[in-house]
This record gives sequence, structure tokens and C-alpha cells, in this order.
Amino acid sequence: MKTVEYVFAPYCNIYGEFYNMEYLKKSNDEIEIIKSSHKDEPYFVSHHVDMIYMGCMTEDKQEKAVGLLMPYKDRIKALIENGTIFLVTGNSVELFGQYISDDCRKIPALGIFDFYSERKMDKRHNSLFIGDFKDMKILGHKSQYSMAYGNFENPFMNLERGYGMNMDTKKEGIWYKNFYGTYSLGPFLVLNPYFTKYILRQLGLSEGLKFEKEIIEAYEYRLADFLNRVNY
Amino acid sequence: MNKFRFYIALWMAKLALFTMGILKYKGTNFPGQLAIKICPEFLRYIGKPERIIGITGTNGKTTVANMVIDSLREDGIYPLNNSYGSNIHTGIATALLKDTGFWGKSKKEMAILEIDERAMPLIMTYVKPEIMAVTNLFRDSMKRNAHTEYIAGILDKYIPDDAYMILNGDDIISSRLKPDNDRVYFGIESLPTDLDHSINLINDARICPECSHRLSYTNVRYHHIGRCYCSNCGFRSPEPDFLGETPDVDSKRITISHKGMKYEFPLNNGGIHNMYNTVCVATILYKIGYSLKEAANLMKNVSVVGSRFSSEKCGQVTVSNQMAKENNAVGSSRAFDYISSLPGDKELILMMNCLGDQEHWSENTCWLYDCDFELLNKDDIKHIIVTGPRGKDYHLRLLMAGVPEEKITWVEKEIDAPNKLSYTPAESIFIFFGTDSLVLGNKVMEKTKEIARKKGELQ
Repeated sequence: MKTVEYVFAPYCNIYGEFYNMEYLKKSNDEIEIIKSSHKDEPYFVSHHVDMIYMGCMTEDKQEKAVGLLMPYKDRIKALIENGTIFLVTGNSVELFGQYISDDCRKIPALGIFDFYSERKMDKRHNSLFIGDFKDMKILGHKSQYSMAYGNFENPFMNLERGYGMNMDTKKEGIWYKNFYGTYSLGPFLVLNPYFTKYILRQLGLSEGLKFEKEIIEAYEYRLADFLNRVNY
Repeated sequence: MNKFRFYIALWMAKLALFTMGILKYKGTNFPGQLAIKICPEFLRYIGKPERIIGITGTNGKTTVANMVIDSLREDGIYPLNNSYGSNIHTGIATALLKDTGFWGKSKKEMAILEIDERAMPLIMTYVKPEIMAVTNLFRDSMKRNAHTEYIAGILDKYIPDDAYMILNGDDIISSRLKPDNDRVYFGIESLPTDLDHSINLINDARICPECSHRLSYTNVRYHHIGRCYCSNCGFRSPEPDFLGETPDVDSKRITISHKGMKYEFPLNNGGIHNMYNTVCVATILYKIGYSLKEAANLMKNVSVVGSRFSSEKCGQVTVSNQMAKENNAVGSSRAFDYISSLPGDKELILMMNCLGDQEHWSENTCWLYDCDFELLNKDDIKHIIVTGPRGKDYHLRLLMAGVPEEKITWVEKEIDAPNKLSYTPAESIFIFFGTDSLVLGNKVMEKTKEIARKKGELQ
């Protein structure tokens, strides 16, 4: 049995993120999903987990979440170093940088990776992207008030189309060992079946997907759509 | 200088309005766009009726505004309104413009304005409603509206501090808006169909807003709509002042009570969201100055406009359209819930594609995984046609929701979808589309009716 923790599930589900876990579970019975709440100590603190998932949150909840995770910063670092899979989507990725700035406030983040984020609540950014990760084309949706700045020496993806961590880079996300972080939000695993297969392989499981034919057809149709229409 | 620009803007926009009237263009906000382009502070200077009633919220604001306008017309009052235009600042400008004289003075005493939540900052700086009704707050288009906390923040900031608030007491998110304003709550009493927990994918009120403890519910209608309490700090939903009671779907009636008075009101259709709309309209009419009895009389002949829901018997089947806002998971979930609760066999066409997005890029599909497609997994829903740019995504989503593969048909182009329906006698056909695909949706609807009539003649 493989254990996947959906950290702060009631917080991290504002754009269909719930279905990432639902789909993993549907695809393989060997996966057990542990949903932890903001009122509990995260399960990974005192238990073995094979994978950790965090999704997009409101800005208020994001600030609460970083405060709640701060006491476990060293444990999180250790898990990343020992190869635990982390999938971190939407503005959750900002928690792993140095800080988040919002107007004149500076909100300390976990400080694990060398980047920072700037939030501008009067500027919503919406875009789509096509990114290269290994031999896969990753499709992403962005809808956010913030951008991230740093060197991003190890991006999760190099973008073929779309905007990366900020408007001036094609580097998207963070990839370090088995940590995969991206601003792409929503049901990332449902929208990227080949990456889901990759995650299943990383977990040491069979890479067969539920509704494999249909999910790949939908992905291919969307990929063609993105290629035709995402021209930035 | 500003006032000079205003007059230029006013007269140019009036000329545009006049020309468009001759050309029979209706329902555009171009004159308002033009006016604001020439004079950015147009809304500041344009004359406004003495009484302004604003209606906002994620879902139901168009229906509520139209029902209030129609009710007032029953009493011979023709309020200024934006029902034919948009609900953003340019639509409001167009509406105000229509009912002003040559010097920009308003000819009306009352305005009923449907106001987009996101457009509040551009409108409320100059347009100050005396009464502000908020139907509810839910997740909406993520591109524009982000999330409910963001929209609640906008409403709190821009609704005037002296506006009288009409709020949904069964919505713990919107009922907390403008805490210092005078207010009245509307709601619906316990229903036999109530649950003690939400079964919907979206519930944006799981956590106590006072102490962050998990909220408990005594009555859940859908999503976070219902009565909640916090077992940790004692926080609970406010008590409704106007209460919808004993709705009767068959006779299409609902009783509304207030301070010991009770009157029967008509229901347009049986969906719970329509019950809330009706109670909200009654509350607005009461606060405008009608008694509850008078409000009930005014609402007798009011119906929901055809673009939202219309139904016609064609041959041996019934063909209906069902408004399901694209990019809006709650709106579509409500439409699914309502249709799936109706008796009899059904065939559906799903085409809630955001064609506006499709012109420039590819629609963000995340909302499909917030939307309760699971509600369509019912025995009496016999066949579902998925079509348009997101047809393959609907197909996958329906499979994830447990709908059997053999019930789903994918058709690439929407206009071809009616050819794939079975038109089984006595069944109902529902076509789901949003405002963005209204024109195409109506074409699909007409084609479906035509085929149904021809098949009916042969049967």
C-alpha cells in the first residue's frame, strides 16, 4: 500500500484540486489517501508517507497554511532530501520559497527553495501553458494574483508556450529530487495523464490509468487546442 | 472641464442610442461604453433616480432583478433597469442614459439594477443603492472572480455603508457581508430533502469564520446553503426575517412568512434555487414599500425569462433549454440537480462551452472537476450527448462521475448533436448552455424542435 497525504485538504481545494487525489485513487487500489485538516498535525510529521500533495488556496488560507507548516520545516526538508514525492500545485508552491510579499507586508515562507513571490491583488493573471518535462508535454492552467522571482535553476518544466514563474521567464516550477512544484492549478493529474503515469511509476506502482483511452483522447484534443491557440 | 466632457459624452451616447434604436439593436452596452470612453467619470455626473435598488450575487441575480421589475410593472411602475444590457459599469451607464433628458437629468424615480460583483469598484463609487440585495456567493469563473473570499472582500469594500442589506440567511458567506449595515435576512425553513452534510464537491463554508473549527450543519440544501453552527465557539447562521415555508412543487406555491404574516407566493419552477429567488424578490418588494400581501399579488403573473428556462412540447417529446453558466461549477451543478430531480426519461445535450474563451485561447477546464456531474448518473437519464470544444472533457468527466460509457455520445460540432438524439416518445430533452453560447444554443434548440416535430408526425 502506498500512502499519499493530501495536506490541509479543506484549504487546498478551490479549483477542482480534490480530483487529483480522487483520480490517483481511482487509478490504483494500492493507493491510500490520507486527508489532513488544518486542525490536525500533518500526518507526515510522525508517519511514513510516499507522497505529499498540496493544492491551491485562497490568499488568507495560504498565510494560515504557511504558519501551520513552519514548525515542521525541518521535517519537510528531510522528506524532500530523502526522495519523498511532493506534488505542489497552484499558489502552494509559494510556501516553499523564501517569502511572499503583499503590498508592504512580507510573509515568511518555509525557505526551502531560493525564490520569493510577489502578490498583487489588483492584477489577476490568467494563462495556459505547454511545458516540456522529460519526454512529456505538460498542459497547465494559471489563474493567480502572484508571480515568483528567482533563478529557477531547476525548473519543473521549460515552457514551449505560455508564461513561467513570472512574465519574463519560460521556466516553470521547481524540480528537486522528487519535488514537483508548479503554479498550474486545478486537477493537474487529470489534465496530464502521462505525468500521472510517471507519478504512479515513481510510487512503484503499475502505470495503468482509469479511463485511460478517454483521458488520453481528452488530453490530445486539449493539446491540439493549446497548440492552436496559445501563442505567447 | 469635466462637466463639459460629460455633456459631450452624454449627447454622443444619446446619438448612438438613437441610431441603434433605428437599426433595432437592442441589449447592447455600446452607448455606455462610448460615454465612459469620452468621460471616464460619466457615472458621477449622469442623473440617477432617487431610489436605487441593487441586486448582486453569484447566482440568481438576473432572475431576481427581472422578477422585481416585472412585479413593479404589474403595479404600473416602470423602473429604470439594465435587464437588456450588461451588468457591468458600461451597462449601468447605458441604462441610466436611456432614461435621462437632454441635460442628463433622470426621468425615473426608481432603478432596479443588476450589478456584477466584480464590477462593483467601477460602479459603486458613483451609484449608491439605497437597498442592496445579495442572492448568494459561490465560486464562479476563476478567471474573473478568483474565489468567494476575494469577492466578499470587494462587496464589503464597495457597497455603501448606508445601504440597507437584504441577505440570504442560509448562505453563511454572503450573510456576513457589511456587518455594520442595517439588514434583513431571507431564508427557507427545513425541507424534507435537507441533509446534515453537503454532498456537493464545492462547499466553501466548511470552516467556522470565527474560530476556524469545522462547521456543522443542521440543514444542507446544496453546497454551503443551509443552516450551520460551530460546536466550538457557538457561531451559527442568522435567523431569517422572511421565511419561505412549505413549498409545494406540484401546485407551484410557497408560503412566505414575516412577523406573523403569511402569504402564498407563486413558484416558477420547483428548484430550491428558485425558491430562494422567490423569497428574495418578496423581501425586496417588502423593503421597497409593499406589504407582503401586495407583493404576493404583484408576483402572481411573473415568470422566469425564456433564455433561462423554456420548455415546449414538440411531437411526442418535450424540448427544453436549461441555462448552465459556463465556467461556473455551482450554476451548472444547480441546473444538473434540478433536471435530474424531474420525473420521466430524459436525454441531454451538454454544450456549456465558453465560446468567448475559445476565440482567443482554450477554456480552462478546472471547473469541470468542481461541478457535480455525479448528479447526472441516474437511471432515468438515458442518453447524454457531449459536444463542442470541451466535449471530450465532458465525456471523461461523466465517466469519472460513474455514468456508464454506453449512455454517452461524443459529437464534435454542437449543431450536429440533435441528429444523435433518439426522440423516444414521452421523454424530455434538455439542452444545457450558458450565456456565452446563447446564439448557438438557440440554433441547436430550434434544430432539435424541428426534428422532434417531424418525428412526431411520423409516429
